[in-house]
Amino acid sequence: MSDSSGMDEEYLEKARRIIDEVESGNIEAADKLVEELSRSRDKSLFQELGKLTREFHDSLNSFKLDSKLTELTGTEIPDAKERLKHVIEMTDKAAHKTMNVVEDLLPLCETLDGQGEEIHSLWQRFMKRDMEPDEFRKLCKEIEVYLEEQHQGTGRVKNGLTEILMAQDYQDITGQIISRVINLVSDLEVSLVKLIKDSGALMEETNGVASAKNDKNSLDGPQIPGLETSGAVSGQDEVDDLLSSLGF
Amino acid sequence: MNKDMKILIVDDFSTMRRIIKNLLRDLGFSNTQEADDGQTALPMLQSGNFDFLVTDWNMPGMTGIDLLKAVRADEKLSTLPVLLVTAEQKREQIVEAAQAGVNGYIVKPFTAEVLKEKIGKIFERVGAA
Repeated sequence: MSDSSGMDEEYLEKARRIIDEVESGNIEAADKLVEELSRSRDKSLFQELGKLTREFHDSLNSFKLDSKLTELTGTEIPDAKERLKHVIEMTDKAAHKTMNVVEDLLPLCETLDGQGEEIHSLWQRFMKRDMEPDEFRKLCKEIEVYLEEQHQGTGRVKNGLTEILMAQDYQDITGQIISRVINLVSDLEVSLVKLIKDSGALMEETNGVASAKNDKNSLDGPQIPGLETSGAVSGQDEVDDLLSSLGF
Repeated sequence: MNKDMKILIVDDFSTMRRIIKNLLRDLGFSNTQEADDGQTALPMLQSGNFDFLVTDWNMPGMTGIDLLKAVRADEKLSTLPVLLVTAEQKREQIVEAAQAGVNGYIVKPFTAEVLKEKIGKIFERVGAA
């Protein structure tokens, strides 16, 4: 402002001097002043052009930042969504694989256990000499069959346990995928904060967060250690206490 | 408690349905069916003579709390015992469920013992009423 008013005064002074010189008949001196005047106008024009160039340069730079954001939102976020979907698929697969084995082996264990118990009680009768020879011969055959079944069953259990063990490999892969998504979220956060700062509209962070959290229809889901929602109970015991205080 | 009672398990995650189904079978209840949200569960309940409903809260389509409210509003189903098994553990949500007429509330992750205890309590109370 002071610059431009200084400029105004300079113009005014020169204009007055031009009139004076013209009135006094010194046309040559007046010409010289007119030239000076136009030169000073050129100078301010160059200054303005310089300012514009700087602004243009700055916006180009912030556009570069925008293109980082474009890249994040255009490719990396959808990519991250796919990766997280993959995590769900992998954990789902591992859980089902494990449960398949368990569902398969539990009845086998129950059968073997039942047969063993039966043979055990017969054996006890034999030890108390409370058994006819015919019945004993039958028992011997049963024991032989049982031992064979037991052997095969234990083999199946061992295979199943190995299968369950192998099904845990999802942890490694999903862990890596989730770490990468966490990194992406951090990158996005940095870019967004920069953008907000550069556009000069730094919002009050807490207000935004609070209004999102207060949405009554949104459910909080599982409590994450270290990120507990306020007003949440910390386990089954507190749920029971709360319900019993309500007359349950 | 009638071990042959017909139970509907509602959860959008099939693994959780399987876990609950297996736990129930271990407790001696093997007459179970499954649904993946309230919208599929409600017609099943209305036509299926179920004795007990075990449902998750947070599901797409129709949530567990809305299913509970729909069950209580339905003349034929209004007295059906309902157990919520959910990761939601905000006080106001537990209170909301209680006010909507839930019979039991279990927070995930849970153990077989907790499930057994809550089912026992629910049918003790239903039997006494």
